[in-house]
Amino acid sequence: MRWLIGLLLFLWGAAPLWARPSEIEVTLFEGGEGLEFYTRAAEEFQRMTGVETHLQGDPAMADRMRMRVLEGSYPEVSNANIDIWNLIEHEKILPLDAWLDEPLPGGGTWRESFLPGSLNQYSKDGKTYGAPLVYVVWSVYYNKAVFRRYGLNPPDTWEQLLELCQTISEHGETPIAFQGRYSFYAQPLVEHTYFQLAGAENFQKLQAAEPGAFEHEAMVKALGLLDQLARDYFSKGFQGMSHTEAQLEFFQGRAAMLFCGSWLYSEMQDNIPQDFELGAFALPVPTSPQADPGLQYASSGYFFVFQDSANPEQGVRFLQHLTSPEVASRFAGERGIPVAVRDANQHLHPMMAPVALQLEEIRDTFGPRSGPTLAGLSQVWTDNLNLILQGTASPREVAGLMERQAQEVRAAAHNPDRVEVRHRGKTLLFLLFLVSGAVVGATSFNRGGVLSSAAMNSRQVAPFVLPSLLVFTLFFALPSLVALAGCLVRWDGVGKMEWVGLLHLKRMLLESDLFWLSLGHNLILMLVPALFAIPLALLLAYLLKQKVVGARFFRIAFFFPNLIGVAGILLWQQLYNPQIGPVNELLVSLGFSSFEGFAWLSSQNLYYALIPMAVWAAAGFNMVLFLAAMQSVPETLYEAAEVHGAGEWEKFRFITLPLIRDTVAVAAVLMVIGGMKAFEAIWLLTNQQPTSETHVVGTFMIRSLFVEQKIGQAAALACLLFAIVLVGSLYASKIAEEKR
Amino acid sequence: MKKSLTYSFLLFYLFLTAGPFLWLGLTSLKPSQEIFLSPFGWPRDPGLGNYARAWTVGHFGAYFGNSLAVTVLTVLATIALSAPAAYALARFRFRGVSALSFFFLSGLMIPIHLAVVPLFFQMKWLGLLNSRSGLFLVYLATSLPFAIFLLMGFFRSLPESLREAAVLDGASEWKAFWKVIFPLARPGVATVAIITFLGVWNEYLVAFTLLSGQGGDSVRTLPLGLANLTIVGQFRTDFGMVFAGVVIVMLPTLIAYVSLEKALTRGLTAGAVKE
Repeated sequence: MRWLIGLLLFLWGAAPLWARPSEIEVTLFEGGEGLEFYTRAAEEFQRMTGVETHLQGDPAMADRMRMRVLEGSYPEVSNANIDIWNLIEHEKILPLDAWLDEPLPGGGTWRESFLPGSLNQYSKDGKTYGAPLVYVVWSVYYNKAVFRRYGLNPPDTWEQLLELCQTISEHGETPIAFQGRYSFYAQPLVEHTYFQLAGAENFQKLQAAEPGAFEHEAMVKALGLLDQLARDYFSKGFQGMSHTEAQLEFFQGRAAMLFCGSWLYSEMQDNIPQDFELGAFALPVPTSPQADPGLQYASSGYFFVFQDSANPEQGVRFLQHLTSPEVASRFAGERGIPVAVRDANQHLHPMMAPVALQLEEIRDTFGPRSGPTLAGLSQVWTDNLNLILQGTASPREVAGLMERQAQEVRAAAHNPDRVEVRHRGKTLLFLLFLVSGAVVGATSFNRGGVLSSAAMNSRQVAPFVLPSLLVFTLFFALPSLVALAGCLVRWDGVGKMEWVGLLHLKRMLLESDLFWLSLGHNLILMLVPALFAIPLALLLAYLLKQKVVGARFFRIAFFFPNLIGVAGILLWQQLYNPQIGPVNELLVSLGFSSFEGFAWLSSQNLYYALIPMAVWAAAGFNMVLFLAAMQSVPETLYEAAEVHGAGEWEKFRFITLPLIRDTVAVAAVLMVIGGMKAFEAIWLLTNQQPTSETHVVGTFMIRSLFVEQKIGQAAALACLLFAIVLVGSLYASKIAEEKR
Repeated sequence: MKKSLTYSFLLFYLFLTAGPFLWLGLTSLKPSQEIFLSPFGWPRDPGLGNYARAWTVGHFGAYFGNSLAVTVLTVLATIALSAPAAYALARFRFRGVSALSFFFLSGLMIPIHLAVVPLFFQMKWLGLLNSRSGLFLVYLATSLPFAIFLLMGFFRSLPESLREAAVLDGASEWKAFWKVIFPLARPGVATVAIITFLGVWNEYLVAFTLLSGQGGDSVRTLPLGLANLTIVGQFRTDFGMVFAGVVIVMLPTLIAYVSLEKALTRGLTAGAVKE
């Protein structure tokens, strides 16, 4: 009997071994092109091969794949945008060469079926790791009706484009819509111009951040062009527009042109008016002897097969199906996106015909380089392009800044243990602050003196306390302690953990500009909302204390915004929308016409936008606290004051305020601590991509953790955050105790 | 004269707080095209199409159930665990009572972001990743400090004689607590209930971390769904669906709040004012 059970157990345990070969999992980034096409391809593949194909799409798939990597549970295939090079180095990505060179039944090899050069980006040491499907070229899209109206023709050079913009704006129309909330939409423009002016060799140096590459005169010129466009020809409030908002602006005829990659049609499909005539031309070239319109910026979207998945071979077969000329042509036709597969783009959707023409004129391409990118270089780009888009610095200044920052990034990559001391004074102040907190804590916590009366032994206490203690320790306290210890190691979640001591803490405090910038932003959120919310809450509480009809209703309505968290943030995101949001509408109708299309959520203005949000959310809560405190003030005091002829203001100023002073202090401290913990509002309103201008410590930490996978650095930031909140709370309890 | 000034200011502020919700509600009934063409008008042909899409495309149907299950369980368990603990810490004298109080209360100062990575590996080791029970345990643990903090204040304000009378009648400490003391702490318990509800119902980061792996899809919660919906909504320029999603997430909060409002204001102010 026992052997039978043993056998059954064995069979049950071993079942996955032979269940495996007939199943694969594909995890997809779900963007504008949707999932329908992939679902169909998966069904076909399943029918052809009998391999059960599970497809999973998610717009946040990159974040989820990073967790899957930590989890060690790999799907067979994914196209998520994660740090593939790190995975290649740890041999987690399957090289595709064995299959690429296999002859295909229809003649030729899989490798030969791709557009020339499109396999290069993920190739190293003769091995190829990524298979491309989507092929991206950059174009200037234009509204043919507008061009016809003013007798305009697609330009070849930037000078011609600028003239054309001038003509359009002289007719009182907006020349260009721009996706200004994401400054990286400007990067292909700048890189394209740089390449055309400085040549291929210098462009490679730029990508490697070699000394002098960013300071190059070509960069100053390229940035200057962007500067001029942004200043004179982009639509009003473009800094606050997301990609789809700007694209909608274009398709609704409110701007004549738009810079975009070739996914435009697919992303906007359902929102293009019936009679819209879409035109497109290649990015213009600068007037220069070197410039060559046949050289275009191009990149691809890649799929990868994971080595450690259950069934990598079938994963490759699925990719072969997905990139076969037949399926890829269908993709180009149905979704209107060019593909990196030979001869497939002739089937491109008719709406994208101008882009198909542009593709035919390409002689050679340049694009993202092969090999790991320097950590931090993309932040250098987004931050500085932002400066140009907002017009806060001149192109030459920005080129200089980029050069300096790029060299820092390079230095950090070459010598990861070096800490440059840049913020000694601030660090000293910070340590003083911590020490003062320790002193306050020591003096307030040895008061002991619990009011308890009943002496108990541990057996009596255990059932009361033990369950809470166990759960709290195991699932919150312990992991927090481990996390604090985590700041002493360097770890990317995949490779080996390395002991680095206090390096991360030192780097954050002494070297990192971003840390101090973020902390400064926290400081704004700690102080400014409190300055508005507390007087407002006092006023509301005072008014509600006068016997008003519907006081309960008012109280409920005023308090509710405090409760809704993430939903409230998303609500404000829409309220601030430059096109459909009521905030600008209201301001304009009140006569503040400069708020027409005002970009509240651009990184320059974000903190102005956050203040009303924070006040809106906090005022009601504080009001409830103050109201309760005011109601506990004895009426006789007011009566006595009235006898002495005190007016309303005197009564408030000399009786109410002093008696509720402590409650106000507690409320202020709570708001200050809340400002330190700020995270979600910034994270969501910047679409999870804060710039240096918008980071707070919380978002900086989450970016280190999930995006850059610098787990030790994230832990160091968490430690600092914890220390600040702890000291703040100690001060708070000190204030709260003093009044007793 | 003065009265009218009071009312006009209150009504003005009501416009600022309730206005956005009104706009949100109206807009959620319009198709996306109409939102762009006339964002402020009354919906021409109000319909629930946005809600239907959020429910299906955004998987809100399944997520709603998950959120509800995890939230209700967490609220109940938080009360069941924190009430006796708070009572013992507030009322009993035993060795290490102040150290223990401090230990629990230190949890108030830990930003949850801190613990996320070790929790991930701990849950992986326990085999609790991508499951509702794993999420529930973490939510319970993180809800306890505030619940204990708040209820300690409550139990301290109750007269000591109650317990003595019950114990003299022959009840054990345990029985005396649940039969006599606990029912008197109802406003405090209601406050804990709603605060825990809000915290868990709106929580994003922990849920994201613990439910993103293999098989996590079917157990995800509403905030994850809402965040995804906004991204999908942007890529597809389907803003109507986003508006509807926000309303769906907000409604249970509104219901819970209005029904527990009295107890909540009393509980909160007891903690912050008298203490």
